[in-house]
Amino acid sequence: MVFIKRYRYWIFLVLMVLPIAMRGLWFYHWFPAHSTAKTPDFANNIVPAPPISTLSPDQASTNAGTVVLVDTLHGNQFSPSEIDSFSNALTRRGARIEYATEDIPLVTQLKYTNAYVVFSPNVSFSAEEVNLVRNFVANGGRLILFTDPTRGTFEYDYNRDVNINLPDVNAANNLLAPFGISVNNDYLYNLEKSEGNFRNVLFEDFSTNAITSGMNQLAFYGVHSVEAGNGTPLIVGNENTYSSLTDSAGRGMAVAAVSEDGNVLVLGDFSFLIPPYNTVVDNQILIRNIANYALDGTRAHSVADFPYVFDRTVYLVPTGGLQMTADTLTPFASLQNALLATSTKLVMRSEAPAEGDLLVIGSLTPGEDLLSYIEPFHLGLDEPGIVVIPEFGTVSSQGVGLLLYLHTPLRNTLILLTELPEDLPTLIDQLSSGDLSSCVTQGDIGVCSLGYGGSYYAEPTEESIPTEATPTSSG
Amino acid sequence: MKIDEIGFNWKQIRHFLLWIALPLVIGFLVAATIPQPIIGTIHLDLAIDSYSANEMIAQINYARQHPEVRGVVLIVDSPGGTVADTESVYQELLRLRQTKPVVTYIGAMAASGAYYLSVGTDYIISNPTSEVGNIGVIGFLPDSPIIFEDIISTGPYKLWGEPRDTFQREMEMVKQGFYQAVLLGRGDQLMIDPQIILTGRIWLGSEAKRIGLIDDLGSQSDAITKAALLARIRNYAVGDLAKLAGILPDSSSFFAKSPEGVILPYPNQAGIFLLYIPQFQVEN
Repeated sequence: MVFIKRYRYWIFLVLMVLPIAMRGLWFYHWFPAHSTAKTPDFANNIVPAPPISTLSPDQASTNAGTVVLVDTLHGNQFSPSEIDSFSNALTRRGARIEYATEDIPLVTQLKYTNAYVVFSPNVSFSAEEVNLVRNFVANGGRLILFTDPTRGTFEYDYNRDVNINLPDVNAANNLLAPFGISVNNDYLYNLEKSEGNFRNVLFEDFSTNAITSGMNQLAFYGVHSVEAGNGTPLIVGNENTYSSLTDSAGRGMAVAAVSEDGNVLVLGDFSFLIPPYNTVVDNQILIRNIANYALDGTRAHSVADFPYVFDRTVYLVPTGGLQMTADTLTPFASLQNALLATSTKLVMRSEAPAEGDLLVIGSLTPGEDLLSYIEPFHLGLDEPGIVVIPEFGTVSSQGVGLLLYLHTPLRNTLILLTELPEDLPTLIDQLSSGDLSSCVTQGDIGVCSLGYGGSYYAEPTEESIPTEATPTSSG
Repeated sequence: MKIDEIGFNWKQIRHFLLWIALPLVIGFLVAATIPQPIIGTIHLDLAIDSYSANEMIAQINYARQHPEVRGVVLIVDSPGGTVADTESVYQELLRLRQTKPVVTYIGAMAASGAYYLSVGTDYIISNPTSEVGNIGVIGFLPDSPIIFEDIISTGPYKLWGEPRDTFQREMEMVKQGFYQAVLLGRGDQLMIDPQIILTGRIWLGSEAKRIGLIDDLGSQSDAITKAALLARIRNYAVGDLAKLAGILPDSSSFFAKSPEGVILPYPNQAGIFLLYIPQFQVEN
């Protein structure tokens, strides 16, 4: 009791605290740890601004009369308004833009086209079309193929309940096969430095070429990589540019390439044509350069391109004393109409004027006035009834019409020759109808069978005509 | 029994009651007011939208205001969600962390915005095969501005919000904020190049541990134990903060529905998202 009495206050305190401490220690063994968390500096995060460029006015040289054909027949994933910047650059240069139509066969449209432009095709080109384009390019026509990783299509597979991606590279590579260039089914990206988004890649590495002249930096907005093959890679990525196909980087990954002969240009993107991306960095210069490229081709026409072989007013010049007859008037009128459809005027003249294109008609037994026209073709006409055509062979002149085409910077000359004057209307008819299916064309020379209309089929002799009608079963 | 003895006993009893029993009673009474500590759990098993974000914030506030909640475990199984809602929850988590430890347990997935929230906590635990990461932003570009005969607005973007190009660039800014949060949350533990992180990849939990996106592999119980360890408590209870805070289950749908009623993995409205959208059903 004495102990309790002496230490009663302490005992009181200890006994009171004891349960509190026991319960406290039962639950807590020390004060909780506190962390100091920092917040991101949201206020100083800024929206990256596009590097808009201002350019001097487009002082383009004019290429009046040039035609650019834009493909619309292969499920092309673009709208004309999207390519206005490119179209405007072309028209400022005097070009006429035509959109391909199913009403006119491609073979016809390519006859008068300087450049064939294809945007993100999603329907394959037929073997015939590929061949046509290959010939078009071989004759100096320019093929410009824009692809874009954002412009594929999707097809729903009901059996497997999935959407199947159909990228534009399938049809594009089908068209590009003859030219040794291909487009990869990927997109490039750069996580280090980009134009607002990782898939908007900046390019600063260019080959020396007219298409890339005057450029310091380009921005592409979702771009396929392009395999240049034997051609020249024009625009290439840096070591931080990755392909989605492999997720690996590699300096020199191209996004644009031109073929070995320089007539095929392939780009992995066309978003850079669309506002506002057309004004970013040097994209405007690229658009102008591509427009120049489209029109700078040396498109060589062949006989097969008739009526698109003339560039100016055509003067019809008969030689060897050929005269206009009732039989020739109709074919000439058809010819005039055919040329008129291409905005080309046909004017009759007895002699060739100093300027203007010529349509010369004559005989395979040439008069003096024809010799100067056919001289460049080195025809062998010495043996009667035989025509020797260099690099073509020997042709019997009977029932045959010759088409000879000569292009010089000053004038285009098309010469029509037949053995007999009465065969000329048939040849002119074939020409004006545009159907040269009975002609073998080889570059600047066409050799046509004149069929029934010509002298090939000799007039039946009197003896060969049956004098009595053949009896029939009906009597 | 003598009177004196009774008096002595009474005195003793009185002394005992006064100096022994009374303090004990007071002590027990006071001790009883010391609550059993609670490790609160917050479940995020939906996309992060305004509804789920508000629910989470209510739970975070409950945890902050109730001292018995000594630590919180964020149990995540989410593909992420809207940017603004994710950021608001993230900032509330940072506030909570200043007073109470918060541990994340990743169930099946902490992708995009859900991982954003995770890096705002003190410790991240996941399963070996949890899907972790998808750091980045996704958005659906607004339509190109056009005008309608019958709809009049006072500016070109009254209808469309903003130019398509600006929208795209804003996403880059949001990405920077996300990446900063990852850097602040993971710091020196990150063993991977920033460019690889920003590819938006998803890693399995075991890989995520190796590259420092998470702290450890383990179970939900491990996460609760870790939270208790950080809170320095024992003999604790585990409580669902949604129930404690009286939050009713939300029936809203963040995701779009097909005409057949199938829930699609895409948001039901346009915007910028910290969201993982499972692979498109597309074959190349």
